[in-house]
Amino acid sequence: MSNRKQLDWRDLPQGNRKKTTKVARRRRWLRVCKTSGLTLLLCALVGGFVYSLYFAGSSIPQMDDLSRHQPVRQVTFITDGVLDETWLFRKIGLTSQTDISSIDIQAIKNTLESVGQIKEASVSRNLPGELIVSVRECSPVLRAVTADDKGRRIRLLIARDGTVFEGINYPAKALRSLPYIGGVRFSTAEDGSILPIKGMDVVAELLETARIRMPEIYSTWTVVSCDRFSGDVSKPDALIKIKSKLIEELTFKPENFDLQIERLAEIIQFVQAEHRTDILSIDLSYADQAVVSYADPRGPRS
Amino acid sequence: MDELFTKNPITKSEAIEDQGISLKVIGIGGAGTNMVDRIKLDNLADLHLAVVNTDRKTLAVSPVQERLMIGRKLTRGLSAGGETEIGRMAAEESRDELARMVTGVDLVFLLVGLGGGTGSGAAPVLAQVAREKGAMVITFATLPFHGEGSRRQEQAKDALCALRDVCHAVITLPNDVLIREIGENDTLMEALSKADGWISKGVSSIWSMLFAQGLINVDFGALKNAFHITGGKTLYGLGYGEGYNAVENALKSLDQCPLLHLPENYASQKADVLILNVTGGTDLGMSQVNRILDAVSEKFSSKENTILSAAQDASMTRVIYITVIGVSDLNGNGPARIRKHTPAAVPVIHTEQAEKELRKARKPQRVDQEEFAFPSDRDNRGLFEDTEPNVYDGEDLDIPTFLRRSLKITS
Amino acid sequence: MSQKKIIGAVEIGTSKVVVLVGEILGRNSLNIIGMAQTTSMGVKKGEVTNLKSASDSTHTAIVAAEKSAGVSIDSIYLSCSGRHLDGFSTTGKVAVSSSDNVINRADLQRVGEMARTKALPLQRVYIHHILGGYKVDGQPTKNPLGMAGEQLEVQYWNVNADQRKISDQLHIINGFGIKVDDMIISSIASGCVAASEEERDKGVLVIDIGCGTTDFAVYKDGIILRTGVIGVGGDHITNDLAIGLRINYKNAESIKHRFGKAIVDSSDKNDTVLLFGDLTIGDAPISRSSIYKITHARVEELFNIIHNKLGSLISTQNLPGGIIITGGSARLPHLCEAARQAFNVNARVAQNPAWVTNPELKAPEYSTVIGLLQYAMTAQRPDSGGRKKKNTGWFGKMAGIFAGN
Repeated sequence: MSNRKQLDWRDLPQGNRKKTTKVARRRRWLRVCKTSGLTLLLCALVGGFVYSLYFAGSSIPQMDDLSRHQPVRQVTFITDGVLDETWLFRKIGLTSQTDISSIDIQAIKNTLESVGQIKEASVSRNLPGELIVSVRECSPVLRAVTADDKGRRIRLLIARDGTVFEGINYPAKALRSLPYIGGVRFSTAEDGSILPIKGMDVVAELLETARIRMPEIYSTWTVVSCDRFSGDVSKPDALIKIKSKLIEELTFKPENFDLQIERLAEIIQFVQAEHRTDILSIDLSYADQAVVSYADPRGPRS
Repeated sequence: MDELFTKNPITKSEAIEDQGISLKVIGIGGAGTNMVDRIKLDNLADLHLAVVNTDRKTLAVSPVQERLMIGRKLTRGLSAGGETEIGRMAAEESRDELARMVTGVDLVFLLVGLGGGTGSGAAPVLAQVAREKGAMVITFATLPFHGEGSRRQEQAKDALCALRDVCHAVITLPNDVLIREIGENDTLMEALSKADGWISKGVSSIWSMLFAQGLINVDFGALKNAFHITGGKTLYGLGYGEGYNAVENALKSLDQCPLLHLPENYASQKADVLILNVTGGTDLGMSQVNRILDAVSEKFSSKENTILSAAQDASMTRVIYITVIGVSDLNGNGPARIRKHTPAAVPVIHTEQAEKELRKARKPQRVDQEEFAFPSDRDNRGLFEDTEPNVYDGEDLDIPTFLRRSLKITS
Repeated sequence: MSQKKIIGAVEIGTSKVVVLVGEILGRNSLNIIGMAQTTSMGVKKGEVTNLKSASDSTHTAIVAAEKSAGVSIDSIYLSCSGRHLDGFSTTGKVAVSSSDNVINRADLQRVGEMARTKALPLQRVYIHHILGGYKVDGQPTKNPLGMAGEQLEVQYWNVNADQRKISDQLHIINGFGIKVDDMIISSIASGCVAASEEERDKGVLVIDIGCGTTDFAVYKDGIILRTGVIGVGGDHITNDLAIGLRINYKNAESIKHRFGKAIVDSSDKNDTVLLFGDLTIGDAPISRSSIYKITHARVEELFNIIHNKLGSLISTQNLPGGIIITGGSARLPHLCEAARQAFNVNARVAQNPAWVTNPELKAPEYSTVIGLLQYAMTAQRPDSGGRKKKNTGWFGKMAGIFAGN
C-alpha cells in the first residue's frame, strides 16, 4: 500500500514555488500591493480620525499663521524633457507678486497636465517661499502634419504611448530625424484634444530596433504608414509600411522586429553586393521569406 | 541486374578503342560560358571544352581553348542585349561554324543559362545542328529567378520548349532552387558554384559511365537509346554519402536532393528510362551497388528500365556518389522500353501544338518579384522536426501519411 | 446550498491555452463568468516542449480570465493529453469476508485497492482509476454493496502518464502561484460534454481531434471502458499540406480551413483553388484533389489507428450511440463521412450543452475545457467527496470514480 501512494499524480509535489513568469510575479505583486494598500488606507483612516479628534482645536490657528501674505521667492522647475521655466511662467501666469498661499496647486497641476506634451506633473509648496514644479514629458517617436479647420498646417508629434501633442520648445534639428506618420486618422475627443493613437508602442519598438541595428538605413525612413495597422497586433493582416528615401516601401509584420530587421539588413547587403539600386519594395512580413521587387524587373543579372 | 552486368562488361580501354567516342562540353551565351569556365573537369580525359558567345569581351577572357564568336555581322561582337531573336539569328548566321564545332562529336553537353539573349536564342540552334551531325545532346540549363521579370521567364520558357524538342535530355536547374540551397551567409558566387557542382557531377558521371574503370560500364549505344525520347521531361538528382553507412547516407541525401523536388517533378518521380550511376571508392562492391539499384529503381522507375553503371575511384574510400538521370515522355507515348542493340535513335514526331498547350496549362503565375526563401530545416517531419518520433506500428506518424503511402500528389 | 464558489478550468492545448472561470451557485447551477485564451507556445502534440513559453502563455491566459471574471482564483482543474498517456485494465478479486456473505464497504475497499495498486514502471504516475464495474460471483452488477455472494470482482481502467510531463504541467500552474485541484485527461473531459447521458448508457465513442493530439473514450452502460491518445491532430494535416503542396505553414493552415475536406470528393476533383484567393503576388493555383487526397489520407489513417486500438469494441452493437467527433478539427468538412467509412458506425459532430450560452464557446474545440468545468462542479458538491455516497446521475458517478484513492 505504501508504494502505491508514490504512484498517483496527486503525490507529486505541488508547492507554491517561485513565480516563474513576469505575469505571475506581477499578479502577486499587485495582490500584495492591494492588500497592503487596503491595510494602510484603513490605518490612515483610523489614524486621521483619532488625530482630528485629538488636535482639532489647536491646529486651525497654526494654519492661519502660515497663510499670511508671503510672495513666491523661488520656483524650482524639474523636467525630463525640453520645457523650460520661461514657458512655465507664461503657462501658469506666475509673477513675483503672486502670493504663495493663494496659489491653487491642484489648478496648476491640472493646467500642466492638460498640455499634451506633459504626461504627469507634480506641484508642491516648500514653505515659506518656494514652489516646486516637476513634470514628466512625452518623448516623440513620430511626427505628423495636419491642418486645422482653417486649413493652417499644424505640426504634431506622437509619443510612444500614442499621445498626440504639439511639440513645444523642441529644437528643429531633433525633430528632423523623426519619420512622419501616415495612414492614420486623428480623432478628436469631446474637449477638442486629439485622442491617442493605438499601437504606437509597437511602432516605436520597430523604429527603436531599426535605429539601433542599422542607423544608416533608419535615417532614410521618411514615413511610417499605419494604414494596415490599427494597433491590434493579433490581427492577421496587420502590417506596418515604411517609405524611405531609398526604397519605396518596406513592409513589416508587427511582431519579432529583431528578426525582420536582421533579414532586411541581409537583403540590403545582398542587393548592394549585386549593385542594384532600384529596389521598389521589400516585404518582410512573411514568416520564412521576404519579397523584394525591383523597379526594373529584368535587372542586370545574367 | 545480372543481365545488365553481363551485357555490359566493357572496360575502359575497350570503350575508347571500340567506340572512339568524343565528348564535348559547350557553354553558350554569357552564363553558359561562365559555367564552362568555372566547372573543373580537367581530370576527365577525352572531354573537350568549348564556348560560344556573341560577346567578344566575354569570349576574350575565357580560359577555354576553343572559342567561337557567332553573329559577327549581326552584333559586331557585342552582346545580344537580352533579345532571343538576335541570339537565334546570330546562331543561324554562324550555322556552318557551329556545325564544324560539333562534327565528329558523339556526345555534346550543352551548358546554358536561359532567360538572356544569346543563350536562349542560340542554344536550340546549336542543339539542332549537333543533332543533325549525329551527336547526342544533353543540356544543362539554369532557369532565371522567379523575380527576374516576366520577360526573362517567358524567354526562358520558350527556349526550354525549343531545347526539349531537339535535345535528348534537358536538365533544368532553377535559380530559385539553387538560392534556396545556400546558407544565410553565402554569397551569390557560392550559390553559383553549387550549381556548377551539380552540372559537373552530371557531366562527369555520364563520362564515367562510358570511360571510367568500372564495375559496370554502359556502351554508348545503350545510352543513346535511353535518351531516344526527345521533348521529354528529365529527372536529375544527386546523392552523396560517406562513412560506414555510405549507401544509406547516399540514398538519404539523394532523397533530399532539391532538384528532385521541383514542382514539376512532384507529381511523379517516376521516369520511363532511368540512368543510374554509382561511383564509389575502391571498397565499392557489387552488393552495395545492388542495394542502391534496388532502392533507386523502385523509387524512380523499374529495374527493367534502369541502366546501371558503377565505377570505382581509386582516390576515395567509403564514399558513394549516386547520380540519377531519368527521362519521361511528356507526350504520353507510354513507357519506352530499352532496346539494347538498336543502333540509332528513332526521332519521335511531335505535335508541337499539343505540347505547347500542355506546358501552358502548367505555367505558373508570373510575378515581378523575387523571393528570398530563408532556409528552414524541413525534412519530411516539417513542423514536428524537433519533437520525439511518433511511432505507431513501425511508422512515424509525424511524416505525412501521403508520403508514407506514396500517394501521388499533383500540384 | 446557496453558497457561491469560484472554480477555474485550464486547458493547455497545442494551439491555444483556454481558461474558464465558473461560478457555482447551489447544486446544479454553473455560470461561466470569465474566459480567456492565448495562442499556445511551447506545446507540441499535446505535450509541453518549452516550459518557459508554455508558462508565459498559460499565465497570460489565467490573468486575462481572472480579469474578465473580476475575481482571482486559487486553484484550477487541469486537463492533460499527449502520447505519454497510457491505460491498462486491471481486475481485483476477493472473497467476501463477512460470515453472512453480505458484501460490506470493507470488501469494496479491499477489492478496489487490489485492482488499483499494480506497480507502474519507473517515472510513471497514475492519473485516473476508472471503475469498470463489479461482479459478484461472476454476475455483473453496478452496486454490489449489501448483495450476498462469495466472490467479489472489480475491474478498473487505469490511466497513467509520464511523471516528468505531469510535473511539467503542475510546474506551469504552480509557477503562477495557484494549485491544481484535479487533473482530468482530455478525452474524459470532452467526452462528458460531447455525449449525452443517454448516449453514454447506450454505448458511444467520443473522438476529440485537437490540434496536436486525438483523444478518444469509449462509453458503455454509463461507464468509461477505454480511453486513448494518439499524437496526431489538426497540425498534422497542416504539416502534410505544407509538405505536399510545398507551401508554408501559414498558407497551409489557411488552405486547410478554406478548402480542406476529409474525403476525396470527385465532384470538383479537377478544380483548382487559389493559394491566397486575392490574386496578389505569389498566389498560385492548387488542385483540389491534392488537398483532398492529403487530408483524406491523414484522417483515414487516424481513424484506422483508433479502430485498431479499440478492435472489437467498435461495432454497431457495441456503439448504438454511434461516434461523436469533437475538438478543433471537427470543423473539417465531411469528417463524419470519413468516420463512417472507417468505422462503419454512424458519426456526428458534437454540440456543446445548452447551458453554455457564450456563442464563442459553442464551438467543438471548447468541449474539453467546458468538460473540465462541468466535472469541477460535480466534484465541488459537498456530498460528492466519497465513493460511499450513493451518487445519482452520471456526474455523481464520475466524481465517485475519481474520488477513490
